[in-house]
Amino acid sequence: MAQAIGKRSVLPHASHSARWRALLREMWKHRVDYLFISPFFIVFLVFGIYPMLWGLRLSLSRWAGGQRTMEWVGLNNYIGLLTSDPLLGKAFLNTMMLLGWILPSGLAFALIVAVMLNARRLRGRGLFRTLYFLPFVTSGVIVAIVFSQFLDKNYGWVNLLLGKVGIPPVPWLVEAIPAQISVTLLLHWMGSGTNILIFLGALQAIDRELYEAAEIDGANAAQSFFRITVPMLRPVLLFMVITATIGLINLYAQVKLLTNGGPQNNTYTMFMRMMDLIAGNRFGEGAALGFIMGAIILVITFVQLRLLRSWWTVEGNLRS
Amino acid sequence: MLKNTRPISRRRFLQAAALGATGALAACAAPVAQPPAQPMQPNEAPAASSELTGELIFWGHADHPIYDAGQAFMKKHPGVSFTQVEITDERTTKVEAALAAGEGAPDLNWLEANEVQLYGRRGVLLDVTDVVKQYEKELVPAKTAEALVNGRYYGMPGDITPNTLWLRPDILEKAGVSVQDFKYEDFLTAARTVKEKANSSLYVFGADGGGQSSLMFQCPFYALGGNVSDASGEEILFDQGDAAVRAVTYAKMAWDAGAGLDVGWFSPPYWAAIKEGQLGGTYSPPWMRGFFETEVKTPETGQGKWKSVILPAYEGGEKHRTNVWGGATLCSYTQTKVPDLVRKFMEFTFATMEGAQVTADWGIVPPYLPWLTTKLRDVKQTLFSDQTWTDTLNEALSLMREDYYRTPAYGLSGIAGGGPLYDKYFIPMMKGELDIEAGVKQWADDLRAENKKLLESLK
Repeated sequence: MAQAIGKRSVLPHASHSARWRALLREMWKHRVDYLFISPFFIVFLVFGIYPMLWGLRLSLSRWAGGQRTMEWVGLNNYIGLLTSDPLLGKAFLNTMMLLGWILPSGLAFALIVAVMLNARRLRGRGLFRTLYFLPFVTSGVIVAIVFSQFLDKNYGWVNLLLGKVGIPPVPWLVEAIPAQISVTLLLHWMGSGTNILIFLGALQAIDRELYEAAEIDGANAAQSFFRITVPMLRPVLLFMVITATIGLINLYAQVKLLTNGGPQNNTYTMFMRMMDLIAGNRFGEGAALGFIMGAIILVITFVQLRLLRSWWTVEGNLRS
Repeated sequence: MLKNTRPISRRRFLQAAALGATGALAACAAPVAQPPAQPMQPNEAPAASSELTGELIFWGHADHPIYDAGQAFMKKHPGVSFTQVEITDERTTKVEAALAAGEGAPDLNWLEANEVQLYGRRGVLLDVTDVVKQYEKELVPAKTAEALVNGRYYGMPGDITPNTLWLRPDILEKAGVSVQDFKYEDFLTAARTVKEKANSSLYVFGADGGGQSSLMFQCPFYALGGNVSDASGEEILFDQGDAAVRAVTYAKMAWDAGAGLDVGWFSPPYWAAIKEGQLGGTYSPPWMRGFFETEVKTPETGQGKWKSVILPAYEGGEKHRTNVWGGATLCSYTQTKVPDLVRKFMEFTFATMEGAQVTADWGIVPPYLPWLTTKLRDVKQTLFSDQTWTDTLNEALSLMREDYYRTPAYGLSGIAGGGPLYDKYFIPMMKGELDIEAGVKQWADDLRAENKKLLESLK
């Protein structure tokens, strides 16, 4: 490899074909190594790149499914969805609302619990960690079904318990706001374990000397948290914000099972709309919506990156 | 031993490993030529015997009448293997994947009427016109029409579902109400009384309006001559005439009465309410009997205590006091490798006395007239107090419409039990948040736009 690079640097104006030949020679020389790293790339090409390109073509086509050929329709699927779909607007608003609420509250909750679990004098940390992580290893489908039983307006345990303390039954799954709260509860319950573990890992990696130095300088607990802990968690926080955003925009199974998008489509998400389009034989529009969702994720992620970066200085301090 | 082994270079080791892996993969691959001892597929001419052989794969939910038919078919033809794969929610996705791949779809599937129309139009269903034509005069016309697409049959008419009203006379008696031929308004009055005095509901009306609750709209819509679309599925008729507006109004009356059972359909509280007598009545299709009998197993939970009567009468809808809800058709796909065996199975299941009996014993109503006219009363059942329920069923059969079209647009509308368009309009109208006439109009407009796109996708 070094030889080839050397040649290139010696002959900066070498012809295009000569450079290709050199590259191919180099690859041939390391053919066995390439052979052994090839499974990942083959799988990625077959199950990652190819479906994505196929999906892109589908989003620009009309297709009746099965073995029928696709008919090119250009951007019609995208335009139709964005201008005249009777349900996409509501689905978009619901998804954004759930994202806007669940993302900060979920991360804040996980961070608070992680900080508590990170306390030096805490006993049974392993037990707590296991308990918080348990929901993650439980089947989402089962959890959603159990939640729907717990939250049933007339027969659910939650209302039964509320009734014991004199609180009237809450229509958890049949009114808009309570249903959105129910979805939030379910997702927090399922997702917090992983978030707590990741935060805990990051917290334990922070050098204790930083806190000791801050203490000597007279910093109180809150100052230590905001001036040391939060900035030091920035890479982890960025990672979690981005992955959680992707997960929430692709929210489907839990909502489908808990509320089926109801009541009155108040928990109907973009992913559910996409699935309905596909189930309704509108594959091209379904694919187009998939790419629209991908674009939304890219835009939101970009904004999040810019915002999170701008909130901290290069030194890792919060901007006042 | 290791000491005597010759050292091997890294490169040689990797080459040998790659060679080994290639060999292993080659060994796993399917043989190019079939060994001569392979059994012959049933669609090929059997050499010596006419006995059927082959394998049938069926996709369906647990506790299924077609499973029972499969067992009976295997008993009759020991050379046939029938396997049911329990698939429910993800069925459509899996079928689509198989259709795109060109293989992997089941040999038999139990499709709703609108699905038969959709897949039939797409040309992916096995054309079974020859089988259905052979028995056309012996099958209930309203049901055969559902399998007909552009003059060809794409499924064996399966379950006819004339809806009736199921009641628990013992519960009604507690409230001083007698089982009778109800007018709708009288029925609601009775429902309020039973709710008040016996803490039991005579209909299901969950706050989400889905599943069985939709019957409170569907039944008057059917009785009053409503249709989501025309027979071709191209013109939306939902807001034509006053059937939809009146049906929503009737449903709202039931909603406002507050006497319905407010539970999710088929949820544990639903079954608990039935077993505890909190559901003293329900609008119901016959196939519900199969599910009821699985749950209601003792007299204490209502076994043998139910009675079936004709649905309440809606003014102007007396001629069709029933409705069709669910009631699937037995279909196969063009990609099946055993089309002849599939046809034989369809014929056995819904065009022979034996097959019809097996499916009817489960709980559905087969459309085979020779069986319907002679054996309906012999059906084994444990739910109803006597066999007069079959008389009610026969009466409901005579009240069925032949001009009720369950096209793909019917599926889109969501009136069969829920869907985003239904959710968008139905409950807001129930709650009074949306004017009924305006709501029906908007619902129909959305439906037109959606149906247009669906039809375009089929071109």
